[in-house]
Amino acid sequence: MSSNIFADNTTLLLKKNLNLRLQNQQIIAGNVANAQTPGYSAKRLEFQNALRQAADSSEHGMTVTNPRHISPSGGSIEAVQGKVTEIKNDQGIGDGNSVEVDQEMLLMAQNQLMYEASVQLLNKKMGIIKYVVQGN
Amino acid sequence: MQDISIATHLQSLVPSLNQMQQDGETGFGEMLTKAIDEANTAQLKADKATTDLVTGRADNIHEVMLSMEEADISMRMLVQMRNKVVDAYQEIIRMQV
Amino acid sequence: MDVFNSLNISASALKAQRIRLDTISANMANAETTRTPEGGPYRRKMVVFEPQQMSFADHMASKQSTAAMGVRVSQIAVDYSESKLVYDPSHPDADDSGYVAMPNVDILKETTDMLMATRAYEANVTAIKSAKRMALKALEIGK
Repeated sequence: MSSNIFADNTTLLLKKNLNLRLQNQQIIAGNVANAQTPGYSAKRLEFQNALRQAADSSEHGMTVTNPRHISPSGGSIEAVQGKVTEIKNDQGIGDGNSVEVDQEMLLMAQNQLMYEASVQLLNKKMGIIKYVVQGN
Repeated sequence: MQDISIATHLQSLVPSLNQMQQDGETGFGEMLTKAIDEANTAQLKADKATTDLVTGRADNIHEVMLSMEEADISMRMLVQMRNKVVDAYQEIIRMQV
Repeated sequence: MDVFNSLNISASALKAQRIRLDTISANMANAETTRTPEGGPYRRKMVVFEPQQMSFADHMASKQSTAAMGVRVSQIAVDYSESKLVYDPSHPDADDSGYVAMPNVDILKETTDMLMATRAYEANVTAIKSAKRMALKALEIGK
């Protein structure tokens, strides 16, 4: 059996999401740490659009009759990388710091929620496969 | 009234067996196929919901969790059904005619 | 490891905020100190923050502006603005015209600063909790 039962699109997507969310946590932590550093611009990690495009293009690869069959175009999901962008403060007042702590807290909570949801979903998927393998 | 004997018993069973074959819906094969289809649909639905959640298209996590749970349960049901069908088949094979 | 990098970033912020709080405490304690070993009244001190590269791996990859950065106190600067002159001829440190040079510490400003430092500290503690929860959750994969 040469195909990998863990290489279907959804599993790859979930794994990639975990990686990206972890990276995002670092970026947000960096923002919160530098919330009062003069001249520091808040950073954001952009990855949802890239993820969506990769998921859509993988979907329109070969259609499968059984979700366990592997579509061979899952490579684009693995290649998704987040892009770090900066939000500049051009108000001209203050010390040029563009971090809003409450906004960062919100993003952090969201990020954590998505990370934990992805872990849970991955667990469930693995659980289904495990159950089928065990057979009882 | 006929004598109650094994022969008459068997004869009364035969028509109901024929009837089951003709119905075609309650045969073991059809039940299994239906269960496979349901499990497949549930899995696809769960996969789609997961993809939507991860790419930011959907907003409710509970829906995704529920559909994933449904996929899990339908898969378990399928496996159990298969086990029972295999057991029943083996039992029938063992029957001495 | 990425998760420890996140913790390091938040820890650097905790340390920086603590140094800031120490400086504020020193300012408030010396709000009326009119003589110092260097001569003249106490001068207000303030911390200067700057971003700091946290992980060695990012140094190697030279992803300077794309990596998440921690914070450090680059210097504890002295505030050389004018000292307040208070008229008090009976004070031992009064000069010839009866004016005493008091430290340029504004208690109100220091209190505000202290509140901000506390809030920033709490925000970074929340970041640490969040990172820790994510790591623990990842440990549950496969359970």
